[in-house]
Amino acid sequence: MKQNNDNLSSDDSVTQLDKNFSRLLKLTGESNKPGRIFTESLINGALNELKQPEVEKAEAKNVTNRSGWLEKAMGWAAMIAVACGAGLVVVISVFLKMNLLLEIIVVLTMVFNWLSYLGGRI
Amino acid sequence: MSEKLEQQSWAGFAQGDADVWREFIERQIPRLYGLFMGRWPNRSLAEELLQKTVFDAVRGRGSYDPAKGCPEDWVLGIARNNIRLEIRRRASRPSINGEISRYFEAMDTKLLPDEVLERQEMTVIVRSALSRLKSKEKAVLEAKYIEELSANDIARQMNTTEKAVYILLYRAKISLRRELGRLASLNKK
Repeated sequence: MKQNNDNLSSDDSVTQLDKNFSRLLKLTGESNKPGRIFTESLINGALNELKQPEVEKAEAKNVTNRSGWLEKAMGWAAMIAVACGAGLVVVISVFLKMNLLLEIIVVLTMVFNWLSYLGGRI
Repeated sequence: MSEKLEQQSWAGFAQGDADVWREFIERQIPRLYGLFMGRWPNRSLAEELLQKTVFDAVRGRGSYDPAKGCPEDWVLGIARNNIRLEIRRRASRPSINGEISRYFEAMDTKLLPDEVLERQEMTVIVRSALSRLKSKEKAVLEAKYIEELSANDIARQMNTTEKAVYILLYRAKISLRRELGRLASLNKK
């Protein structure tokens, strides 16, 4: 959020060392008022924020709606995939004459995964 | 007359009138900055909190209710809330122990904790380190990090080229780093 108008730091990325130097040197500066450039940048940033709230709010709403729809679709797809997986395990185990205990463990694991997924959603 | 003007301003305040807000922010900046500096004598932190408070106010202007008080008190409430959040953030951080030199050694990769910056001896160490630099090195560091001037502005101020400013700044940073390390280790002894 903090604007950096400094050409020196826009050429290279601002390193941790730069940030630390800035913080240290500001300890020695005048402490009763913030810097002029900082103040101007803060006021301009706040006024820009003031100009675009409606557009941003509308965009944010669209993103929320879209993500809600996507989440539902993904949830259903996951549920169908888990159900198909469980069915497939039963069919394969019948064909391979798998040990009944092993079959139960596999199906229970899938059901548990499904439940934990639903639990996570709730 | 002035009361009417004030009421008009309040209406503009809630509606997000740019002129009203500009005037309001300009008036509030020194007041809020003083409040934060009074709590923690750390200019970077005060600027951070000031910025957060101003943006919180702009974004939350819809929640301002003139019946509950003037905008100044409302924004002061936001500032106090940010102070409370900072106190909580500090309480959740591990306590700062050990010598300052340990933090200086890692300053290339880690941000110095606020608690270290706010130690009484820190300002003395930084001032001493600066005083040991060449006058041009000191000037370029102050212009960049305190006045936050661009390379172009610094070059104009120092009557030199931008490239020379970069070179000088590079050297000044090395010298300052060396002096800080040396003084911190002396402080340890």
